[in-house]
Amino acid sequence: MKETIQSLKQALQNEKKAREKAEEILLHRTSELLETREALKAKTHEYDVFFENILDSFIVMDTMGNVIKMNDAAVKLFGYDIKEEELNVVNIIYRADFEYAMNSFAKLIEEGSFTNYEARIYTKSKEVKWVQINSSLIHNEEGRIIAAQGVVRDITSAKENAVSFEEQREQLAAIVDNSTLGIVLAQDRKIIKTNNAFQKLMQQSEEELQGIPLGDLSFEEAHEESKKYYDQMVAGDINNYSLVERYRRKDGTAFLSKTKVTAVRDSKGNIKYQLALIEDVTEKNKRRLILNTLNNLTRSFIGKLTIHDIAWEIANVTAHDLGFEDCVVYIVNKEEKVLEQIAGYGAKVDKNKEIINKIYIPIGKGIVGHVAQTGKAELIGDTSKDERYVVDDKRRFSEITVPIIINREVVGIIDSENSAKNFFSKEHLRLLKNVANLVSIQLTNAVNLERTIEAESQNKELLENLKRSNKELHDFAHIVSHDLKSPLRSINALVSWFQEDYEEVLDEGANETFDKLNNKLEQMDALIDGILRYSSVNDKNILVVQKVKVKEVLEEIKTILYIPEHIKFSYPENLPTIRADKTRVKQLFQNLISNAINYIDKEEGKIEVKFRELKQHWKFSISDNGVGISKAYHDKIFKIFQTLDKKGKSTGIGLSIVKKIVELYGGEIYLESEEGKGTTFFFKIKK
Amino acid sequence: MENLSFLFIEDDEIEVLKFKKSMKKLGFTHRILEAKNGEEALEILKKKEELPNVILLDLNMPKMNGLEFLKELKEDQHLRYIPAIIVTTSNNHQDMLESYKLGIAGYIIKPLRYEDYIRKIQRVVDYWMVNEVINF
Repeated sequence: MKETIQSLKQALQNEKKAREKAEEILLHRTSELLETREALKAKTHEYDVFFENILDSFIVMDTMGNVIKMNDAAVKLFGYDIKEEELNVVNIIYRADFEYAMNSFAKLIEEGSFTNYEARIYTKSKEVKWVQINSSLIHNEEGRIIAAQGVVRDITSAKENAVSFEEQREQLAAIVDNSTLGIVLAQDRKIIKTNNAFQKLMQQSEEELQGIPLGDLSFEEAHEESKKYYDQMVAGDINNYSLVERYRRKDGTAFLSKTKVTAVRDSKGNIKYQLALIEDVTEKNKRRLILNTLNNLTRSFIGKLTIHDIAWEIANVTAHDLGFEDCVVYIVNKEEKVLEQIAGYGAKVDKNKEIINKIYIPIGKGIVGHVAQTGKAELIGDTSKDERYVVDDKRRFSEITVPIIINREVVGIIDSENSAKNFFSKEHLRLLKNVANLVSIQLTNAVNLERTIEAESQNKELLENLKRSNKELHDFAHIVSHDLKSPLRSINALVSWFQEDYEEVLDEGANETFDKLNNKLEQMDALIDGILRYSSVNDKNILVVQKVKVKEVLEEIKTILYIPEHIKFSYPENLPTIRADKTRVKQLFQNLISNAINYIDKEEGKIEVKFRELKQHWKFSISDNGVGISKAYHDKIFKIFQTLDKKGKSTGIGLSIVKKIVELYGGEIYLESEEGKGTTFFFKIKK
Repeated sequence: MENLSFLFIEDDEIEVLKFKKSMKKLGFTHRILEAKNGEEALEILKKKEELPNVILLDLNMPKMNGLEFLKELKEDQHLRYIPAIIVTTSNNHQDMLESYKLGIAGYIIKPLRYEDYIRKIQRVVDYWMVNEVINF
């Protein structure tokens, strides 16, 4: 520590000495200096105006490097202000640039000026800045150097940018070199630069590729398209284009590429270079092809419900899309234990889509038979080495055989052979397995669909039958009622004639008997009418939906029904208007009210209709103070022909009609009753 | 009072008797032509020897029923003008609709009671007696 301080002190001492020495020299040249100073004063004055108006830093220093003038920009740049402190430029020179600075200074003295001197300086805050200085000497009238002036420009950020540009260039080069895309820079479509990936793709070195026209590398098929685009690019219509073309490698093989060409233009817009990005899409294309095949198959399966229909699609689509020489689909015949060829593509099929020389392969025999037995797909690269191979129309060296499995049972085989060895790839195998799965799903679906259709048609049939029986029942009711009613009328007429013809002979007793007979006839007639009405409640053909004022209905009923005087029939004035068929509504109320009338046994009868509005329904109630109905009969009374009336006045149809009507309008009916006190029927009708 | 002629088409003997007895009881002396079914009625009509002023017919009949008869009647250029009245036990809405569609002059339901029947017949006949009818 002490030593350091010591050495610093020493340095300070040295500097002091140097300065004293300088001052000494200065003193020696006092007169000179005075003159110079005066001259300088005059000279610098000229710059004052100039000083204020330039944005760049401007300084004037004496021959010793002491700054004697600086503008605001310079103050801002250096952080020093000579109005407050002395500034000697020597002190702020960046250490590493010191020598360069001194040399430049010497050059300045020698040549009178320097331009574009670039060096680093320390600002007052010890920041390092890059500056560019253009400097010249100032002479007095006698031609003596009195000072130097300089415009100092801060180029720090420009320098930094220059560095990052360099970095970027390196990064870019790294990207270009490591890119998996082939990158080619061409001028007038001739290669001037290529990257590693492209060289690798083409199996040629950078040197080999240099100068070769791009067109020479690709197959002719896309040249026309390429030229068309290029012309458009030259014309300035487009700036880039892409096309799929095949390139020829050094060894003669080809690869499929997606090429994207972009124009690099000069400031006038003329094409300077063409930048081409070349992507090998051979594999991608293969995958796409496989995907397409699957898609095509899926599409072609739609609506095909049998394995026979599907088989033709498999054979055609797979073979065609994947460029197979042939494809044969077999179906397993379980009874005969053989595989039958049901569809094919290629040599096995004639013009009429008939299989030529159809063969049957026993399960277990040959590769196909074997796969049918094991349920495991096989990929055979060389059939000549496989003992199982059965020659069909001719020997082919590679074979792919995939089973179609439904519910763990092999139902068919997809088989393709190729003259070349190792023609089929694992991708092909995967694809055919997918196809087999697809077929399995489709056929399972087809079976399910068939079942659904069958079930649906059964349902439909059932519904039709039901409709028919309903109609038959309805018609039956009409015919029967007519046939039953006619004899009743005849009997009535015959009895009347008998009574007329034997008027004198018949006594009161006989006439009474005839009256009873006629009463029975009337009962029977009413019963038949009831059945008829009941059977036609459902008849939607005659249903009219209209606005029905319930109050009006009740008023009408009052005129139709005979309401004895001792019965008080009442209903509220504000009864609603409902939407229904008026006849049905009338039937509904009429039946309930006439029931009430019939069963009132009190001296003062009371029938009351009430209603309530619910959210989705209208709720009506009809209560009487009649005999009441035992709980045991509450359900029974709604059933047809069920009557509690022993006198034979009732047919047992009325309430079943009521129930049917209520149900027709999406409602329900029930009752509350106390024997001896009365009954209230409640029913709801959907609004 | 001018006499009318009725064609009464009915398969039921007693019904025919009923009609005739009613007419007699009502003191009508109108001429009554009888047919047991539509076919027979058409035969009578097609002869055109004696055409009735009014046709009364039942709907449910063997062979050609009432509606079928009506259809044929209305297709005939001349016969179609003879008023035809249905007399039936069926108050089937469908039947009624179909009948009116074909162009009937009335639809009468046979009542159960003989007395009621006579009253209805009386009104029908009275009505046609005050009508101007076409004489062929």
